[in-house]
Amino acid sequence: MIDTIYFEEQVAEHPRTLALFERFSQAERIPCNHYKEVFNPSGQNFRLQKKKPALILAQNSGKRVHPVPPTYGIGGRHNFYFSHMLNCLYDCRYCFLQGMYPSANYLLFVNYEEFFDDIQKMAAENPDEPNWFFSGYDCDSLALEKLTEFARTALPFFAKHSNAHLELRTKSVATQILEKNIALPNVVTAFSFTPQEISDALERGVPSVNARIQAMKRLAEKGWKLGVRLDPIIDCLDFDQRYQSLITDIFSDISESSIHSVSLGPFRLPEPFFKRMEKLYPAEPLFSTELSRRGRSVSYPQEVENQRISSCKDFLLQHLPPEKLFLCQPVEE
Amino acid sequence: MNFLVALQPEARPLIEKFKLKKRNGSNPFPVFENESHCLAISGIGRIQAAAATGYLLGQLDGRPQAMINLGIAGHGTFDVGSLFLANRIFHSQEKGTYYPPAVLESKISKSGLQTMDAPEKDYPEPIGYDMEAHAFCSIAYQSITRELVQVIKVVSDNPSAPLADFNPKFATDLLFANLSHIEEISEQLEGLEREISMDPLILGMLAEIRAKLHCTATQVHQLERILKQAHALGMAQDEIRSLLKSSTHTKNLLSSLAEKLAPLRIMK
Repeated sequence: MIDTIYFEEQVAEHPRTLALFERFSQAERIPCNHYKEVFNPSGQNFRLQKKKPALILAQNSGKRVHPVPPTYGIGGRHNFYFSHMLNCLYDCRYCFLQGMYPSANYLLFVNYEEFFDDIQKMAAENPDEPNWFFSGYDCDSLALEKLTEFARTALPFFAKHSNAHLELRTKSVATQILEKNIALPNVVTAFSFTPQEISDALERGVPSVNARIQAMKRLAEKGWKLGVRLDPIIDCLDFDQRYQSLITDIFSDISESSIHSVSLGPFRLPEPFFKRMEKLYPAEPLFSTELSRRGRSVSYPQEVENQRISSCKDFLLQHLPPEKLFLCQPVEE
Repeated sequence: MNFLVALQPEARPLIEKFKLKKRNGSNPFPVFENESHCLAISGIGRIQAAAATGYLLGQLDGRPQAMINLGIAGHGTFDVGSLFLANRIFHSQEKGTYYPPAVLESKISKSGLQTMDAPEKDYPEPIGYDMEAHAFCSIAYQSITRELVQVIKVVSDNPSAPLADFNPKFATDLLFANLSHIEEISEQLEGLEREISMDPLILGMLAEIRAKLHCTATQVHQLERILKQAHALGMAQDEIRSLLKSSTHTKNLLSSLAEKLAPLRIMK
């Protein structure tokens, strides 16, 4: 699975680095001074690297926890995100990571404990309120759990810090670590979905919708709180029928009481990201659909977006109360 | 596919294998080529390598093309005659270290490589030592996607068989013995080239249009984009041809294409 591991010399002896060296004992190990020498140079081709990503092990010594734009959130007032990893196991054609990063290699920051220190400090600033920490912005929170053991390390931390709330966002069914642990009230595992036909067309390597629903069901049975993320919403033929059927399938198996939140997000990309993605995959139909520039983003025309969001809201409100439904709006420009 | 080698004896196996012909006329570096391969002989050292790489880049036509620096090298641990792909290339006095992306599926050995200004006789580290690769990468990376730039070396000397005088026949023999590996890498790189090149059907259609209609530079870009979209959305070539037949100006063709594509612009 991993043939090449680049590692910063400063993390060469880190226990997580050593464990990964042992796990991928056949992989080529290539030292570097700083991960940016490998990850950041321009002139790399994301598409070609995605065929066989290497693993980069590094230390994040910069700012590790960032505020989330005010138009995003799932009910809390204090929202932050952090990225212990950049890039994803899956290959979703709409994913902004393809337009944002010059490299498709998996970049793993092994200093988890320093992330937790920062989270603890942030949460201490608002001790009487929930502080939300979103982990799945720049990677899938669970897909590479066997490799990263991030959730395994994070759960004991969040068990001790009840005002720090964690969202694990995923399209994976690698939920064993959660199934083995006692459910924590301050951890939400949020599953992202598009209808199966769209997933087949755009989400390479992603487990089927049904497999994800079954993973949700297993977690719900263990008492874990769940999220549903319909973000990005992709316009398509038979939109209403496909999205309604998806939503019905989810709520046929998952009780509303297990759902912490559902969020909806329109498809939108910063224009420079879109241009890079279009150049990488010129034969991808998605990029030739009815998308146009709006402000500094590329998105569906406003009326199409409004209509699609409104349809999804209607379908969802048949299954859950409005206070559990959130709209992730693009930041106003 | 483009090759940069330092010396003629290192080039000979490729010249014979691919039946390359020497380019006539006055060239700053000897160039051997056929329809799909081009090889330049740089001479020894970083300045020569940088200049020849720049010269080769100047010959490219804008399509994605791969470039390989091939030659003999010393190595701290590898056996004489073994071939390796460089995975970390550095020079003691230069700031940049280069990491050719590990995109090739191959069992071929990989190794770090230090580019030197004089032959390395002590082999202090378990890595390779050459005199061109760092300069080659520093120039090639300015124009070519990094995945398509690779450095292949064959070990000519090591601590058990230290460097003696350069023996041209020995260099040629070493590279001949490794031709199959070199071909394997070269073919994989050609596959990557194709993957990121514009579809030949689109290029062909663009050429047909330009042969019939006058196009400004902006219109060529517009056509290229809309043809890519037509291809992505599954519009048949014949349908585009029929629109071309009925168009008297590029402007008409662009608007007819846009009109035909409008109902297709939705995910199926």
